[in-house]
Amino acid sequence: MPSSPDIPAYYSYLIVALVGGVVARSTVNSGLADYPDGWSFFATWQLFLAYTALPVLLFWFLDYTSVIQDTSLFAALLVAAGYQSIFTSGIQSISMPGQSASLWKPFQAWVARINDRIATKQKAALDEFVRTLEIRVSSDPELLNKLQQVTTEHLPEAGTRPPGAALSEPADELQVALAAIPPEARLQRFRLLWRAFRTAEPINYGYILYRERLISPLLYWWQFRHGLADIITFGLLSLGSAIVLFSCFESSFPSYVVSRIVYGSVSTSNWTQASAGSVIRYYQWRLRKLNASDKDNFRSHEYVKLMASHTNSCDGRQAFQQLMAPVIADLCFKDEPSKKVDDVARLLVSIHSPTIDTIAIPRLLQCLWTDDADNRLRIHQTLIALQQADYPSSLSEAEQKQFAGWIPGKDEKSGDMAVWVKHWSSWWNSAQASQNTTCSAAPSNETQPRALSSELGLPIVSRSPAPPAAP
Amino acid sequence: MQQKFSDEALRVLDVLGEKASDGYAVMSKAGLKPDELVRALKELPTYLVMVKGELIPDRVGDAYLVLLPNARDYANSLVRSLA
Repeated sequence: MPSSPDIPAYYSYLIVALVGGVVARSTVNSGLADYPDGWSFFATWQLFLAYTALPVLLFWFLDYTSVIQDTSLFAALLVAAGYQSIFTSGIQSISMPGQSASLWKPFQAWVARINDRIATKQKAALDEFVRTLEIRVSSDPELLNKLQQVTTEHLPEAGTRPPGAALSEPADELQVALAAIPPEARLQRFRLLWRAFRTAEPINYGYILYRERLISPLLYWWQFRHGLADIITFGLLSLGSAIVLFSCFESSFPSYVVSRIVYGSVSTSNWTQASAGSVIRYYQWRLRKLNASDKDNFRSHEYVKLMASHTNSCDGRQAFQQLMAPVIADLCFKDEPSKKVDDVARLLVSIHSPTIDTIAIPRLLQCLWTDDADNRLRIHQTLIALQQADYPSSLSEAEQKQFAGWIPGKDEKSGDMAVWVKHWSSWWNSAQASQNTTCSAAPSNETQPRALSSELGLPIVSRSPAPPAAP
Repeated sequence: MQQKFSDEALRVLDVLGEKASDGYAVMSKAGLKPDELVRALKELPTYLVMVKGELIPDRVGDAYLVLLPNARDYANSLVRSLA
């Protein structure tokens, strides 16, 4: 959806979850709100959560399969509100890839099973209420008399019943039936009265029982005023709020998102918030994503620049390393798209500094072994750019020309590759030796180039600080 | 082609289309006697109406009756044919 505003992915997913939640509530209500205590059953909440999670998963899936982009506002709204249509028939510009739409049927079957379970529980809850009332009333002659009186009052007069509409036994028929039951058979009497009462008052029986003090206000609230559903809803909402609050303190991502919503951007003074593990993982995901939009890439690059600007401290260096190590490691993969390699290479060159080099260059050296010759060339050129930017005097002009002259080819032998990796490693060791790496907190093995094995079985990284021999 | 149902069965569908209810409420709204309701429920297929409870005149009032959400449109079309 090219005409849609491009928003950060956390907004999109938040929109999908919130709108999806509203749609889920309406869907559950339209299907199950008939049940008086619908929201008091675990199964109903299960259904609600499933309906809320479904659009979020679908949104991720459609983005993953490049049907939409997860930074598109319109796509987020469409998926959140119309996910059922997407599954069943597809909507213009959004249709499920392949046979994935057939997943809707098992989901519907599961919904039908849940629906059945809720109906069973509803029936069990009603039966439980009648049993409670049965025990209470049949054990107390006064209450039983009261029920008889109330029932008689609510029975329609025999002559006033419209033909065919009536189910109530007239008072005289009830009296005859009661007379046939011995007074001590109170349970039997209760059951007869109960059927007659329920037939006479099929809808408002709860309120009448409460008004006539046959049930306690608490039982009335519990059974007829959705007391249990209210308690469970309140409890779950409180639990949800507590989890959100806890996650705000425990993980900085929610507070980071709130800062973005309130202030629009996170200033450098909020670096602590921006460098939290969850925020780093979010941007790592965005940086590694192959189908991210240009604007999303721009936002991610801005974040990397923010992180790069704090690499003068140990914490900053560690955070930057945590962010970029997997992103650079992706360049080693054979099938990494050249566009992504170019993006990362450009980013590394644009934020270059000797400190950042200690994190980036060892990993780039490892990625020189990639099977993709084009990407090997790109990495090689990035190394040249970094060398010229940060260590211009570390190579003689002749050496620079020789490095620049290496054009990796598809049929390049591993031995030849090993020689070039060795030269780059030797250069890096000597260049790094002149740097001040006093950050004791940073794991030393991460800032050192790892020994790489050549086909000859010898470590390629030279530990000699001497300048490399010309290739 | 629509299946043929009795007038009582269609009245039950009409009531359940508004709200799932127990047997007493359905009998009252549809103007049916217990044995009529039992007959109507036995006639209605399980893909239309879910019955939780016993289908005997003495107990049908306590049964819980639900029109299945997937069958709502079909039930509506059947009820419209009654009107």
